[in-house]
Amino acid sequence: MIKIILTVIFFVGSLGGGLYVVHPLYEDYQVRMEENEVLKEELENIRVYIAELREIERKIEEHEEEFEFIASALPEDHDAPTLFLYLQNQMDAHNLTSTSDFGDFSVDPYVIEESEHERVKEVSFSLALEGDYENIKNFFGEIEQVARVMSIEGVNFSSSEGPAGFGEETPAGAVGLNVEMSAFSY
Amino acid sequence: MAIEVSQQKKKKVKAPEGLDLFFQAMIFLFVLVVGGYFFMLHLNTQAEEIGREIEDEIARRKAAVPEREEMEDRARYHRHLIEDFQDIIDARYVMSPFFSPFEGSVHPSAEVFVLNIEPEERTVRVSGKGEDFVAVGQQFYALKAREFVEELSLSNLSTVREDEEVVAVEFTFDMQVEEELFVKDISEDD
Repeated sequence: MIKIILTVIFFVGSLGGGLYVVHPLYEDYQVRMEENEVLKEELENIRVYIAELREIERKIEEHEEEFEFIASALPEDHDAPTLFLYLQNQMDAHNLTSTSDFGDFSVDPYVIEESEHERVKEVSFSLALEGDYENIKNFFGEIEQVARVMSIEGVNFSSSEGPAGFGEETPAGAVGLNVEMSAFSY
Repeated sequence: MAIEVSQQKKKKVKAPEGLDLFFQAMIFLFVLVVGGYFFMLHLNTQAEEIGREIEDEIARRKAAVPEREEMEDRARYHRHLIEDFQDIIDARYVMSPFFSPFEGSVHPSAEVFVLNIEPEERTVRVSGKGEDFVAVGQQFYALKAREFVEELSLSNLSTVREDEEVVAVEFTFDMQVEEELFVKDISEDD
């Protein structure tokens, strides 16, 4: 009789223990293992991320010169006085004379493909010059090379005194030039 | 009679067949469950410990790079710099590529006085004069034949007279030209 009772107790105990104690522990274990997998993945991501950051740092240092060039093309401030001083020097160097007020400019958000650029600003200004056609060409060639990026938005050449010098056969003469330009900054 | 009763009683308390085996199986099962409990307890503790170790490692790696935020800022700044520079370079207009092809298209007996250039619209308005209608016509076809001219139209034509005699023919052409005439190939700088 005792054996029967003990058998029943062991059976009930095993069943209850298995269902209500061991199984929940097993489920906890599974959850913990899944959490550990997530943590391992996070650790791996951090490892890769830091390695990538270090690689970027290395590349930035490697291309420091190029970045300095780009930074001078896109300064933190519009720095219009330096820009105009540069243009004035180039005009002098190419025997071009300014025929209107020099130095008016506006700073607006840079519009690209009909939407405003989120960071870049556009410094717009115009120049009215007079000089020899060849010198004007050289002037353009020079300012297009400079680190500070400039864009020519519109050009109007005119010559009221005779041939303007366009073409290979026509003699050079005084050419008036109105040019709309832009430079860029943050 | 008494012997019979005693034999009957003996028969009643006799355990069912196979009980022993079942009893032993239950003991084994019970021991297995108890063992399983401790085993799972051990595994849980171990998993918890591993999780804690990984968390510590994550915290250590994060703390091991104190300049991480600075590195991120620097990387972000340089990425923006490259992207913005690319945006500007892709969209900016220059004049240098325009001159040479255009100069090669001006007729020897034509003179150009006005040149309006709108790089964004890719339009060029050319005003000038030729010796006669033939020269202006040749100038028109000389421009039309050039690859960089996509569209060409004559928008004005008038004669210049001296003493009733036609001494020149003034013209205005409107051109739609290739975008490449206002785009600088930056590989040229290398």
